[in-house]
Amino acid sequence: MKEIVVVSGKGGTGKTSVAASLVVLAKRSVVADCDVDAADLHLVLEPRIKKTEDFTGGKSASIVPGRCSNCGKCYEICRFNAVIKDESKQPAYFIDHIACEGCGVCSCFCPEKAIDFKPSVNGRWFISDTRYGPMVHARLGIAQENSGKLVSLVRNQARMLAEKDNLSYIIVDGPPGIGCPVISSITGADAVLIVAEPTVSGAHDLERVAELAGHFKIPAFLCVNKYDLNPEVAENIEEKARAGGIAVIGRIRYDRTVTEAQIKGLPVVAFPDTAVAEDMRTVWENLEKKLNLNKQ
Amino acid sequence: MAPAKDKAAAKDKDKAADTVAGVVAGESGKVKDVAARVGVTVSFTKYQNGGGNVLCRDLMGPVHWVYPSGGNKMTINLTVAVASGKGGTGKTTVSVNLACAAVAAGYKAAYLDSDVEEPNGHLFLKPRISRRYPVSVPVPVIDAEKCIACSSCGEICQYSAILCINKNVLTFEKMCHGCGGCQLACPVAAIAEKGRKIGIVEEGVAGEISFVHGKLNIGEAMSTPLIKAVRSAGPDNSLRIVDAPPGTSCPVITAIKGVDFVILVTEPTPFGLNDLGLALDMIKELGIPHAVVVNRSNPYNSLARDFCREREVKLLAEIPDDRRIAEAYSRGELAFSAAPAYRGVFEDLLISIEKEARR
Amino acid sequence: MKIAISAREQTLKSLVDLRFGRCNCFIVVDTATGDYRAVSNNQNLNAAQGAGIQSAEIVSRQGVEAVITGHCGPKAFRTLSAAGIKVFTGAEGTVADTVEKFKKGMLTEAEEADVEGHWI
Repeated sequence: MKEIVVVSGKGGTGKTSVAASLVVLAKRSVVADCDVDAADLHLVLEPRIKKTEDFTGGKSASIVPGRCSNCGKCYEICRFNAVIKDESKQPAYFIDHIACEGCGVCSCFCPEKAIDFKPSVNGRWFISDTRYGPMVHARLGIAQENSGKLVSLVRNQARMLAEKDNLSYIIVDGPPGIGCPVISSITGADAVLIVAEPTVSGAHDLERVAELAGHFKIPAFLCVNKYDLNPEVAENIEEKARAGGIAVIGRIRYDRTVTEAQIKGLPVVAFPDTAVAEDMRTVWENLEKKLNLNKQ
Repeated sequence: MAPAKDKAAAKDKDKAADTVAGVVAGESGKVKDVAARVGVTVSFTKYQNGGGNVLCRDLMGPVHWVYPSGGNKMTINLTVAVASGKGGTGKTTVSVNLACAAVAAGYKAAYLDSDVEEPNGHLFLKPRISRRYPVSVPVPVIDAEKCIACSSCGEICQYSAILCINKNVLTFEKMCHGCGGCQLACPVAAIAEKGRKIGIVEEGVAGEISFVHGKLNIGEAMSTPLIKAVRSAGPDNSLRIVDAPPGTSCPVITAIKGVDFVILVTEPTPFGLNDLGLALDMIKELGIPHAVVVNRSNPYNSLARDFCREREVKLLAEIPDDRRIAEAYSRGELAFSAAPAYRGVFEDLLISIEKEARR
Repeated sequence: MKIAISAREQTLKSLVDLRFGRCNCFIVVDTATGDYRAVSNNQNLNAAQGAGIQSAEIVSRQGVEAVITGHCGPKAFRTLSAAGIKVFTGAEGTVADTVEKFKKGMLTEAEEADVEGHWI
């Protein structure tokens, strides 16, 4: 079984469109949407939800009004400015749940033991069926933290499904950036497919995400999306990638079919006669070839 | 420029009752001009504050202008964040061009790139960096002489960043959130703190725009302290434009918390609008005034317009889906300079933001 | 001597789980008597980070002298070393076979982590 994570560094380069097409092309696969705070994959894969579970990512503090003596200890020791002081209220202190990091320090040192520190529900996750195989996806609660943990959970569930059904591939739609949820999405994976766009921003962000993949020693592959918007920059990006030991496995052209497919709620390759679908097939064929070479 | 003014003037009729009690010495004309553009009337009285600056104080809203009598830039105390649920919708395009429009309109402006994972604004503004400093988070250091291996530190830590095993205390610095709990819990004061670098902040100028951005170290998971550092840098008394990271979780919340106004940039596609919906949910939770800008808009696609009407959120501007803008972007050029035809879009947007933020 | 083997299921017939921090459970075996019991590692399955550290604490509490697993990351390795527990990586097959191989001295002790810091 191979786990492939589609990433980009920069947002909006076409990760989800590429991932959705790979899901169709990979056939025996399970798909995981790890962009848990702005998930879009469900819009083109039409999942039918079979199982919904709460996600408890961390603990959160809250002051129990009856027990608080207004001593201000929590306000003094919280380093995240999550204890708010409002002397017009009783008690004068309350927790800003958005700012709370869940460290539990306030609760531990409250002389009145007036601060509860309990697991909090930070979101939900789903196991679904799609036309192309099982899917694991999630929704982080509004303004919630712990996206890295939710990503881990989604990947872990996807792995368990793949093992159970003996599927050949896990396709992961990753989040943008290079921070916590991206690190959670790629560590331990078999390959990352970087989708870049031919802009100076795209080139800049590619370098950072490629370095990240290198940092965690994960084989990386590149495809430039909408390459014809600026072929010169596209070439430049490909050159840089090759110099950094990243295999270039194809180019995808700019095509309005991509947006039309999105509006119809379908993966691009569901329009097999279009040029952009052909590009996607080339990307997948090359990727599959390279992955199986690495295996031997 | 001219049509924009007319449009603004027309929109302003219903706001004629707004007045500004202001003060000025010298270029009152310029103040009046700006006041007219944002739809308020200005009355002037003489007032000289300590630094020789002239204060033009708006009594109606949160916006304060300080107009330096000897200088050449008007100041405004307003922080606007540019955010979006989905990545790649045009946050940076809107932010950098808005900063240009602000400077062109005579404001003191600052651009703060808080997308520390993938900062891009510098590629367009090409700033001259004059100051560079690291940002650290506190991590524990154990004094082995004093340590009695009681395990208190490991018991309080929620992040597996410190533990006591086999009479040894181990620390894992990258896991540490810097809460200071272990230090407080240690009964023999054996724990001190040192800084662990997570990235750098760079400050400089791009023409007349003050420039700040943060760069997260590769492989670093903790970005919020760096985002906070970017937010607290840069000059006051200016139009501070915060280019936020994408998404709806911790990094974007840190970037936009406490700003005066948020612009949510979207594109008229199902992905763009789905993520705009999530961003709206988040922003309502935070309770910050906000409005939407649609990028890559075209007259025949009403998806975004319909969405905004349905969600009862104001649509401030539409940036057309024009290859010239996309090409300028791909080359790292500002639409404001490379496609001057679109200056008006950003100038109008600036005026709308000023007005919205004053409500 | 007590040893812990990372396993997919709670029996000796189970396959070795190649992951240390994210294995389903540990089979703790007394090599002298052959007695064994399964210790759950469930709390770690969904940790974004620090799974290896927590697992190392769990096996340390069992008083084992050696851990046998597929791969071990740097944080887990450091924790196990600090606890004075030997680490054997590269195990495969069933737990029972692995115990036999260990007894015959067919496994080699790892001198360092054999995989990069796993976040999952």
